[in-house]
Amino acid sequence: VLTPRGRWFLAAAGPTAVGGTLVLAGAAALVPLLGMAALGWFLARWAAFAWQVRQARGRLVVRRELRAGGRAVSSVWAYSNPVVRLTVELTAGSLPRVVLADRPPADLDGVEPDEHVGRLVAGSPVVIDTPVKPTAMGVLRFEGLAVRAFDPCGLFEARWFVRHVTEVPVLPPLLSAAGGKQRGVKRVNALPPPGLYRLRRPGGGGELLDLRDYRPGDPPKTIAWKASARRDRLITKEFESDVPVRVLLLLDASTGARVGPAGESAVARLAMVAAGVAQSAAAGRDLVGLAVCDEDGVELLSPARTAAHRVRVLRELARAAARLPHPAGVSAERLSKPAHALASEVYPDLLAADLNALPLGLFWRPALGRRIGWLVVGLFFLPFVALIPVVLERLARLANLFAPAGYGWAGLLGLLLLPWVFGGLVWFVHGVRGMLPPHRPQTARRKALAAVFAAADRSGPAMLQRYVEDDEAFADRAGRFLTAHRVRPPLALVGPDGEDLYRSPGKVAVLAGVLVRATAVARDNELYVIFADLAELTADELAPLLAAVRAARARHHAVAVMVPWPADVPADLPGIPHRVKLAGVVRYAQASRYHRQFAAVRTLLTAAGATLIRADAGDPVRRVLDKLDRVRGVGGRR
Amino acid sequence: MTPSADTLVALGSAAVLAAGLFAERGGSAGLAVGAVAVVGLLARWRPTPPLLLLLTAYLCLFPDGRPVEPVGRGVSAGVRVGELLIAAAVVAYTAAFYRTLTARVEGADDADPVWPTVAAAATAAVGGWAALVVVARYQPDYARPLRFVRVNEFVATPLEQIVGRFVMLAGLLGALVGGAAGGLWLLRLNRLTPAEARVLLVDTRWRETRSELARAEAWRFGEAKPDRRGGCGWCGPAVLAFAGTFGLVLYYLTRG
Repeated sequence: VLTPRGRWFLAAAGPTAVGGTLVLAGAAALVPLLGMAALGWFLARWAAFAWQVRQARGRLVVRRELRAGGRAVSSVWAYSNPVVRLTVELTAGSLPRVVLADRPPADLDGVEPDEHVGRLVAGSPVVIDTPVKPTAMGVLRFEGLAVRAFDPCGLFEARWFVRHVTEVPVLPPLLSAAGGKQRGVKRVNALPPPGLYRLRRPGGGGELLDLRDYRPGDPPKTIAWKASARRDRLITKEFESDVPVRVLLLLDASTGARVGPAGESAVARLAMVAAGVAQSAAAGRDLVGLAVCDEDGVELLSPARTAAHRVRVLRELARAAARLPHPAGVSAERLSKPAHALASEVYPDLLAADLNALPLGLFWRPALGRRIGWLVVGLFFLPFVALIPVVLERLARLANLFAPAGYGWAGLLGLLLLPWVFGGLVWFVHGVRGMLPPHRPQTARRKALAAVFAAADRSGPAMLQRYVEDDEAFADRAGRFLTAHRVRPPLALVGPDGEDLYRSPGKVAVLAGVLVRATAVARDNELYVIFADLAELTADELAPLLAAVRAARARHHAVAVMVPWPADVPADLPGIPHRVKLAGVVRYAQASRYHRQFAAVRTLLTAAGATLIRADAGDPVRRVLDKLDRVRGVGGRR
Repeated sequence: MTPSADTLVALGSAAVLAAGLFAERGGSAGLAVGAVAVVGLLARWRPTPPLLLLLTAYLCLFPDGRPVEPVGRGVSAGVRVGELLIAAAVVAYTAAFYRTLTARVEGADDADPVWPTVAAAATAAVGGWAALVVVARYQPDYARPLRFVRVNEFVATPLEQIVGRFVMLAGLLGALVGGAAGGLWLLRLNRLTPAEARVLLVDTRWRETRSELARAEAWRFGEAKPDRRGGCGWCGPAVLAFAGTFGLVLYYLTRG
């Protein structure tokens, strides 16, 4: 494209060349000579630049690596300071002036990517370092490299994007403390020691279990000398076993839990706490498993306690924390704007007019097939009513009233043709409205995106047409497009009838199913920790989960439920406000309602045998772990 | 601060331009153009090249500044070296001026040699003259397409000459720009990425079958969503109001 500099020069050289040649060539040849020389030079520069860019586009090679502590890493820790190193190399040829910039992840604020400005020559790779500071666990998605090339004079500019997708998990920060301080008790055990739980079977623990007669082979240090002296025979001390426990973390990653800003959604907060629990349990040599649940199913990692497994759990938690809500109930037009903005940035080559055409007929709004079409058809057939003699007679009288004498036939003809003229006008106005704003940019955006979607899905032209015609299909695909590129889509939290679109009651059945299956196969006393946003669900909706909790408790498993507390609801309900504005009263009513619902859920879960832990928005992970630790030690003291 | 090579080329071009105009059109024209070129370069004023081009063209036509009596010689009188130098100097100044701006903004090095700028300016001047000669001296033979005849200035009227030049100029520019654009498009087709090729294929197939696909979508929706892309809110009531009013008027006017 032309830069402003190029446009101004063309505006001067073009008229000088054309006007001078047409008018002055026969009288003053120097003027057209100036214009022709300038225009020829301009066109030559354009052709040379276009050729150079065409040659170079496919020859850009991009490599990206994350570096932390002076070495390349495949994942980063939250609150660390890694550097994204992008290496750009041209395999052949050169570009005289380029501006190269790495596109930062959409949900990472405050990143100012370093730019390379200057020449790019084959054999001389360019390195761009961008420091990032992730402040929440999740996934960083780097889309690629934005390239702007200029000719040496700055008259022309070419922009394109080299897609080089890299997804980097951001793991939660490591906790330094060891396992819990409270020690639970197990009735049965099938796991090899050591661990932190007390099993009342002889073993190598620290707590005294019993005294018995000495048997040959018992280590001398276990002999109870005082008891031996009293009984006049050798007595040996027996100790309890310190054993581990299986911990299964059930994480609610349903659509409702994904709503919220980056790093502050319910699932992100729950995943951060779950990561702390996993690390704490692993420090106590417990076996940790993970089940990430949403409305559609579950992704399960069986319990294990290797270091590699621990990292795998943290990666899965990071992936779960990064999930974005799928937009429901949002209009196609509202979604098409951010989707088109994203596509313009990341897929500018696929939106180019020479590949992704916008034929003029696309913008014409056909009347037939719509309600207005019936009116046009009706107006077309209206003149045939004149075949009825009475109507024709009255029309003839009317025509004679207005038409000059002797021209009554012309007036009658005009009256008969009037519906056709009006119908044609309606048809034309209706159709041509599609070529004017706001319809035209909407249709253009939608068609361009539809072609990109259809090509990406390899679904053919029929699907392209469906995306153009069908609002629901387009909105669904545009929402998936945005979430796949980690751009938070616009959401409609409330449906047309005032219903909450993101309550996600379907997750309860999935959570309950996982808990029942885990209980069914458990041969040991296990600990189930459910991280789920359940506060706004009714007793009927919670019934499957309550039944599963009761079943688990009946088999002596421990169940803890951790519910996130919304940041915008006060933890303690204040008094009824006096003399405040309506917004304050509404907020108070909402907070009061949430407190009541939470209390009801707490009552239900406690009655079923589970322990409810509230994870407040400002709570550090350590504080939540302390709360869980107290749950773990319940009944453990003697 | 050491001036860059491009700055020196721009200053040299300004000097050649001023000298050429001084020789061809007199002192005041050369002085004015030279002053504008130097001041624009020192001030880094971006509109200088197009302004200089227009000013040079104006002063070539009206050397004393008053638009009264144009001065100059036609194409048929041949070219003079001074005129070619003026044209080449304007082009060289433009190229060097813009390069100094780009280098200043982007901090680029001065490793580019000087001679391509000078050679390009000289080629542009000679090529421009050749194109001007072709456009001004020849015109298409309308009786035998794709053949050209020399313009007879004593026979052809001024309007006929202008029309002939217009056809020749349009043909020349169309051939040059169209040929270059076509070549670049072929190169682009040859270098399409898989994603671009998929979009091109699906879009081409869609354009060829668009009406059938639209009909199939309409059938698929049927009665479920008859107005899925929004209806016309005012057309229906307007037509009904028109029909009702027309019927009432017809009845009352013709009841007698």
